[in-house]
Amino acid sequence: MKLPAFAYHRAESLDDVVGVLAEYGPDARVLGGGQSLLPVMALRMSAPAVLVDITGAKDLTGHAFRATDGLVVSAAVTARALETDRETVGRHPLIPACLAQVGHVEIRTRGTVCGSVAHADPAAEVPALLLALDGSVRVAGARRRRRIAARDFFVGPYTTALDDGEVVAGIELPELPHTAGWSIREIARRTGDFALAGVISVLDTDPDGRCRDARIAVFGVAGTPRRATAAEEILLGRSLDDATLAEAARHSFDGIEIIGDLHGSATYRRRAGIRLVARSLTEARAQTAKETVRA
Amino acid sequence: MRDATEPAPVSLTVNGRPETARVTPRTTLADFLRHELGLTGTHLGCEQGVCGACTVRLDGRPVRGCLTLAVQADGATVETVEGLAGDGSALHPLQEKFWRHQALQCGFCTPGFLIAAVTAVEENPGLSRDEVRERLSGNICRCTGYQSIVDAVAEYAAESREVGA
Amino acid sequence: MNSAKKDLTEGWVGRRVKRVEDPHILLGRGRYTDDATPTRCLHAAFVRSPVAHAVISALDTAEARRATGVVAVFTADELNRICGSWKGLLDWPGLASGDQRPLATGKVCYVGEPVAIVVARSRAIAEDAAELVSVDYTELAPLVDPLVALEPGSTLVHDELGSNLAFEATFGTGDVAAAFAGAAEIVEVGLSTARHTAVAMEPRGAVAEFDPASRSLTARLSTQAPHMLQSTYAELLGLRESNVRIITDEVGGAFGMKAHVYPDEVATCAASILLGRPVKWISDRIESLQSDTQARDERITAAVALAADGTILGLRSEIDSDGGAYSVYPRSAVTEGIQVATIMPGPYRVPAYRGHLRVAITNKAPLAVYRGVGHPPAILAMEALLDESARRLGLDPAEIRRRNLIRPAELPYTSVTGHVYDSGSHQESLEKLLAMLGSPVDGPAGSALAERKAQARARGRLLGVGLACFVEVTAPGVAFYGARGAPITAHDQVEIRVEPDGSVTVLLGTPGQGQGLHTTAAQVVADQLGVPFETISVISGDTRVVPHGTGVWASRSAVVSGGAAASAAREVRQRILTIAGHLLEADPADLEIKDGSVRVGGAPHVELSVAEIAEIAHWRTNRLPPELRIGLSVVGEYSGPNVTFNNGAHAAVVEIDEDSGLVHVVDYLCVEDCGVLINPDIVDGQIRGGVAQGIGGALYERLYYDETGQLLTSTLLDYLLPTGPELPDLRIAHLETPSPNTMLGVKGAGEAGAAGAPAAVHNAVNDALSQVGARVWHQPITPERVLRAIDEAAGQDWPEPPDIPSLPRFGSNATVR
Repeated sequence: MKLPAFAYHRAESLDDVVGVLAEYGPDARVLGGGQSLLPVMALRMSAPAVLVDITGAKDLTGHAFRATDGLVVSAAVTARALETDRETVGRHPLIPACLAQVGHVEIRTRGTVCGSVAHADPAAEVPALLLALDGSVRVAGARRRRRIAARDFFVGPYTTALDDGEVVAGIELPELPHTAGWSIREIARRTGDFALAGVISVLDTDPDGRCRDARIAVFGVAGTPRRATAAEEILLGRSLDDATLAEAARHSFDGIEIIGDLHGSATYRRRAGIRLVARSLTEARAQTAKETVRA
Repeated sequence: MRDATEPAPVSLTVNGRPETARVTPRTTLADFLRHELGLTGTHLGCEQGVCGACTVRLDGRPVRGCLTLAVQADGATVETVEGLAGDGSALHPLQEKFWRHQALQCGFCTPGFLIAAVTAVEENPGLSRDEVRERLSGNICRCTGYQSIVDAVAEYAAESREVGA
Repeated sequence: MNSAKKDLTEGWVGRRVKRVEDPHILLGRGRYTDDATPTRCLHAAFVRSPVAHAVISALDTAEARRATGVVAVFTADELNRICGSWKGLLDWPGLASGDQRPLATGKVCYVGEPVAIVVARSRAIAEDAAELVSVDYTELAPLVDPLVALEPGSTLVHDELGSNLAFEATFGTGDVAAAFAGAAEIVEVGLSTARHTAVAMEPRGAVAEFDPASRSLTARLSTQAPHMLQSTYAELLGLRESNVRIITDEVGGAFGMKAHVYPDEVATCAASILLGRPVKWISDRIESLQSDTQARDERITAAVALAADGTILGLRSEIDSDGGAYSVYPRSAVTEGIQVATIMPGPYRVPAYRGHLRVAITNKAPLAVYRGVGHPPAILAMEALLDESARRLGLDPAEIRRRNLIRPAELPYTSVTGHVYDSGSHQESLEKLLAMLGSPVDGPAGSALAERKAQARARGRLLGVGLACFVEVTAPGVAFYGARGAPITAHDQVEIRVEPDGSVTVLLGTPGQGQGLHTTAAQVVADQLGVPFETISVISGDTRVVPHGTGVWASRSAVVSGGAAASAAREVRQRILTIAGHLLEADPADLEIKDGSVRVGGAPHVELSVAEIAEIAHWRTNRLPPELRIGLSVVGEYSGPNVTFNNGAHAAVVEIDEDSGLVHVVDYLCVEDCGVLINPDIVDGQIRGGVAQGIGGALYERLYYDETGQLLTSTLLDYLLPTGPELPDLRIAHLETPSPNTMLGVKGAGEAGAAGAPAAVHNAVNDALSQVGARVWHQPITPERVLRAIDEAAGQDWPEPPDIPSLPRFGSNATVR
């Protein structure tokens, strides 16, 4: 189908974006890469009167590692740009590994990292990554700028903590210690499909081999990406032997209401998800060990 | 602000030529190329960004023509299947490979595959067969079972490596 | 006509010629339906039913009509005045269907049924206005499960029919009861294939131009059968057949789905007639998934009676097919079910068989023919039975097939359902396949295969190998449809014109749809006429220009169009030789044409080029006697055989990830015998594409209707097509057993891949799962179905109700789970 009619504004700056959003209210939507918004509009499930294109806003381009905030990614940065950025690949390889799982190259070429966060698809990788890294969202509105922690940002399927008139200006993806190991794994029917179940794991051990940090974010199983807190608690302070990892995996969906659909029931997602988490933890642990040896 | 219903000019470079046409904001780049410029080699198979038939290059990078607005391409450089071979009737080397390996049947998906594959090999001439499959997984072909497309792209990549070396 | 092969393989036939179709497509110059827009063209969009079953209680188009840019909004009230109704009723006894019209009249019977057509200055404006059409639907109980639809007292899809039974019949001969009574083993399976659809990458569409002055209609369509539509459109729209012109240039995939009369395409033509202006409508993908014909929705219970050594004594099957809301014109909603019933015995000696078919009318988009028509479910049932039988009897799966496959001495063989297999290589193709596979299919412990399975297991993977042997109906004769009243024949015409410069124009009655027919025909003509391949131009797809042809379907075009091309070429050749004989003062019988030159046998220096002869025949006729037939333009024709069957065997090797249930096809082999190969590359392409679609059906594709009849898979994000990484490289081998019944010894080749692949993959999955005592019986074989089977075999319950259809039961209309 063809897109419904809308007026179009190519914003020059973040102030320009929030100004237009303030002027037009809920009739205006932010257009980033458009790889999620335009299909929804083409299905005529959304018909905003105004699209504010942020991709040309000078102060929304670019990304940089900052001492306290980690990698700060501005709203107009595409997934492909970050995925192939040498510094990011070298310094925070989990990020490109996750981005490589997002759709297909052509989608990542236009789709923005922050757009994925704002779209809040429960099966998407970037929101889960943000959650796994305890990252934050930089939010701008006409009256205030604020920072929302990832754990507070994703409210429900395609629903975020953004207020009317607010836009995601950037995200902060904290760095990981060199000793940490990580893994991203997902079950998808086909290459590039949204995950039936996905997991991002980060494990870090102290010199004794005890787990000092465990972050497990699961996605594609519930209304939002979720941290597997029960599993994380099992791991913390313990030595990461097979039995411990298996125990953690078994509890990785505790307290998470799993939602099934035509591609996979809740039981499928839980059972396949538990095994996926187990593999993911094993993979992350293997990296942890390597890093420890190197250190 | 461009008005929703009043067509306004968009200028871009398409296959090396400057082009200007008046469009409404909702006109996608694919529809603009097809209906304003008559470049009907770019095909629409789903208009949802899934099938890849409308893949074109925007400033050198492969994008979905159906998920890009023509107004977003204002000032940009666009390459379509019609521009691959340059002027005249000779085929681009990748098109030659497609012909040789019968990497097309109905041909509807072919322009998207050509554009995606040219870019893929440009970025990484060292692509293995599995990597070709992976990299082109955003393009759907219903006729060939992909094998002959992989043959064509892999051979083109191999020859690109030789040329590059 | 066995000599045909010898004569032909020395020339262009048999060569891997690059396709003549390709360069302009590769350059982006292909012309598909949406690529031509006439001057003053308007654009249409449809209002389609959002509900499965309802009475249209109110329909208000006033607001849409008032919208800026809208030219007209038509409903059934307007279109029914100028357009008749239709239904696909081949004269099968008892076949029933509701009337179809361009737009829903009074009620809607499936989600996506067109209700109104909005015509506007642009497609986008038409779509905007379609949202302004207000329709009140009084919903009726939706019929989604065909077995429920067939229960007495069920709500009726078409009240006037008094029943939701579209068709019921029994096929087969022999004493089945005795066979089962005397069996050493009886093995039964219950299984299903999922409703799926062709998903041609080019959606359907129509560009209709009506000229009120001459009352003539030109319709550019993406179709497989232009002449069939010329006839039916003329009849439906009250036009003279000579005033209806159907044009199709490139067709972006069809696979059987574009061989029908579609309401939206007819409505587009009707709108052009009412407006006197060109109207274009191009289907979008949602419309395609909702309204293209659907296929493969069969539930089968089948049983085989076996002797102790695995010899088949008898076979029976209960088949329930979900025909959807209407019987599609002209191929009907029951052809698929009939094929399931009659193909099931396949390449095996089955002395007694009874197949009982019921086709239900339900609130889904109509079911019709799609590549392989009925073969995939039939072959799946038979091959699954053989694998289960082999397991039961402790036989190698290859051995049980070997014992039952038709032997060369038994050919020609008349099957228990009356099919005559004219020739074939049923045993040989299996042996060749096994040799390529390189290991016994069911090796004992310590064998290469057992070792592979053990290695896979150590990686968390279950490995399995599956076989499927098949015969495929190709190039069926007029008995199939035409004799049953449809505007479909077996007859094709091809015109060959030698132009004054000696170049050759070939006009095919039947169009290409992407499979390379222009190349195939040019190869045949080059050989038969004796001219260089490069001098031949091929044209098809314009009913005003080309002679009559019945279209591309049932793997017929290489056989029948190829035959008609040969027939025309032979006549042209004879005329060239006659003229040459006069000019050279030689007996035409002593002349031969080769590489575009006529030579006198035994006098190689005496030569006259076809170009010289053509020039004389066109412009220097003074040099020829008046009684000579000098016209170098000839229409040749060929009616084709009653039918010819190709045959072969597939093998799939799969690995199942035990943690996720995901199935990976890691190796795939196919041996096919389609008689004389005109262009092996083209045949390989047909096999690969068919296998890809078959793997799609086995593992991915499903039109998912919920209990309200809502289609949940209406985008390509939800309707899953295999992409590159999901498919393996195929290993293909050919056998060439020429058909004794076709002009060139050729058999069709278009559907064998799709026909056998679902069974081979399914058997491989069950071979893998049998290691843990599990099986799956329903396609697509989703990771959930696999994981559930593994868990249940291990005694772990699965709380959700199983996602499987109800199955028919022998000797009763009652349903069982």
